[in-house]
Parts: sequence; structure tokens; C-alpha cells
Amino acid sequence: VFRKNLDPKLGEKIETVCNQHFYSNFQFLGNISYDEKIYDTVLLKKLFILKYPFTAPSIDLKKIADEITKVTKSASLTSQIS
Amino acid sequence: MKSLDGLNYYEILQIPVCASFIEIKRAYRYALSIYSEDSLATYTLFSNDERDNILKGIEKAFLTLIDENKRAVYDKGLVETGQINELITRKDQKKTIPFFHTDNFVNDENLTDPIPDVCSNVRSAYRQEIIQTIDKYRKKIKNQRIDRQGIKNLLKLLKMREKVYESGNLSEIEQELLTMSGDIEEPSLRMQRNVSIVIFSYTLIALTSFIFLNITDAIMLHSFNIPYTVLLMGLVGCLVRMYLQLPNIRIRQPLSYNPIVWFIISPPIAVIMAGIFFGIVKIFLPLIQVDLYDEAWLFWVQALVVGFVNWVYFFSNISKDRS
Repeated sequence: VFRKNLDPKLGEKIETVCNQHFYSNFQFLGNISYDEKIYDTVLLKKLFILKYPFTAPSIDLKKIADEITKVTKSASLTSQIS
Repeated sequence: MKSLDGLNYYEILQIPVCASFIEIKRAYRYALSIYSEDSLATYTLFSNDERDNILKGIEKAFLTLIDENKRAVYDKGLVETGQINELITRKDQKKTIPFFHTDNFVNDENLTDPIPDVCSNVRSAYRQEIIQTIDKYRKKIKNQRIDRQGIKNLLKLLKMREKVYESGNLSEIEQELLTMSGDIEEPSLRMQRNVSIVIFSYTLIALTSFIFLNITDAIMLHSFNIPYTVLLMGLVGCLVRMYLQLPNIRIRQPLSYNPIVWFIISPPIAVIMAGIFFGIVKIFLPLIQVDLYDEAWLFWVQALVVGFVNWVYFFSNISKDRS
């Protein structure tokens, strides 16, 4: 589904389901697009991000990492204030 | 796992209390897409009974909220139990249907249609944005090493440009562009280029070493031949590699994708390679004390082996790239 882009809102839907039915808060951080080079790097035992830093999956991963750091930063700030 | 039992209809559909009819409809469709039988978001998460219950709950919530009278009664109940504030449920607080919604359209010939203007404005804005993006990425592609795949991508981009005028969906195209501008080169082509660099550098090494040998022979400095030649070979090799690895002097694309061309090119390359091997053997011959019976025979055997290996290598790479 992700590879074929049949349902681009799947991540958000899973987030909704998790928030409604599980006892915790979940946040959807983003999709990671598919690239055949990922398979190659697994075989080569190399880090994909280091080998192909400007591919779509790497950029997606960076965005997600940015989101995570944003969340943790804001969480730490609020803990400092309180 | 929590069920939807304790939630009110607004919470089930995940809409605000003052939601309009359109929002309710939209939320209902969204909920159905999440909990439907073929949904990937919830498969294996619920049993059939649980899913049926949830779907019944959603339908009940929708049928209640979509009916104005039923909704008013339901809101009253919520206010009485203290779940929501009375002020929010007031009728004037509730959102009305937007003016441009098809429900509000009337058959009046005197009315001017605002849609064409809006469309043309949006289209021209998209057009500007797309042209800018394409130019940006074209420059990016131009500055990078570009091969056949890169050119293919560029053509695809131009096709997409037409497609985007119709659809207006930029996010998908942006993703495509990012993928394109990432790593255009294919691994096989990169290997091919590296091999061509190695062959080229060793050819230069061989040529310089032979020239150097001739010069030293001419001035009768036999005792300095071997160490100086080896040193020179290493130096020239390093310089050639450095020169080829500079970004602006890179080999931009392979010489040809035709196996026949490579078949024609391979023998001269092989002869040069064999020349290098032959030269090395000749240099180290006094040291390793090997008495070769016929040096010419060795030369041509090496040439044939290397030529065949070269051709097989390039042919396999080219056919891989074609597929």
C-alpha cells in the first residue's frame, strides 16, 4: 500500500485507531518512501542514510527525526517550566 | 483495548460539537474507511463481532447527528449530563454550509460564475511554482553527474509537468523530484565508470613507464631503472586518480551502451593492459630470476585473457542496465 500509494492517509488512520483504542497517546510522524537501494544497502551491510543521503527515504527519515527532536525538546521545556 | 462504548457520538466520529453537516458526513466516511472490513489500519486488530459493533455505533452516531431534530435532543441529553457546555450547542454557533457548496447553488442565469477565475488563478500559481521547481531541479541535475537514467528522469519530469496542470497535486511530484535529484547513478554504471578510470590511469602509467624506461636506457642509467620506474608509476597513478576524481572532470557518462562497441574497444584496452603486465614482468625479471622462454607468447595470452574478461564485464553491466 505504501509503495503503491493506494492510501496516503493510512498512517493518520492508524494513529486515530491507536489513540482511540489504546491507553496511550500516539503521534504519526510521517511516511518513509520506498527505494530499491534500501535492499542493496542491507545486503552490503552499509548505513542507507550515509550511503544515499539525498534520496527520498533519507529525507523522510530526517523529517521524522526532526519531528522527534522537536517533540522531545518541547517536552523537556515544559518540564523545566513546570 | 478500549472500546467505543463510553464515548459520545461526537467523540466516536471525532468531530467538535459545533460541527457542520459536511464535517459530520466527512467524519462518517473517514470512520467507515478506518473500520471497514478491508481496511489496512485495523486488520487483525478486531474480531468480526467487535468490528460490527463499532460500525453499528458509528452508523448510529451518524444517523443521530445528521438529523437536526435527533441531534438537538441528543445535545440536550449531553448538556443535562454535563458532558458538554450549553453555549456550544446553540444553533447559531453551529457552522453553516459554505457559500460555494453545491447545496447552495441556484439556477439563476444572471449570476456570474466565479469558478473559472478561481481555477485560472490557481492554475497560473501552480504553473509558476512548477516551473520554478523544475528549473531548480534541472540545475541540480545538470551540476551532478548525469547518465542515461538521469536523462530518462528528466523526460519523465517534463511529462509530469503536463500531468500536474491537470491534477494540481504537487506533493506527489515533489517526492518524485526529490527521488530524482538524490542518487541518479545506478550501481552498475558507477562500477563501470570506476573500471574505466582504472583502465585509463593504468594506460597512462604504462605509457609513462615505457617512456621513462627508454629515456633511462638511452642515458645508460640501468641501476636506477627499477626503483625510479616503480616510484614514477605510483606517483602518476595517484595524480591521475586525483585528477579524475575532481568534480568537474568526471567522466559524465559511459562511452557507449552498445556491447558491439565495447567488443571493438576491448582488444586495444586488453593489449595496453597486457603491455602493462608485460612491462612489470620485464622490470622485475632480473629480480625474481625467471627465465621466460618466449616473451611474445606471454604477451598475447595475457592480452586475450584480459580482453575477454573486460568484454564479459562490460557486457554484463550493460545488459543489466538495459534490463
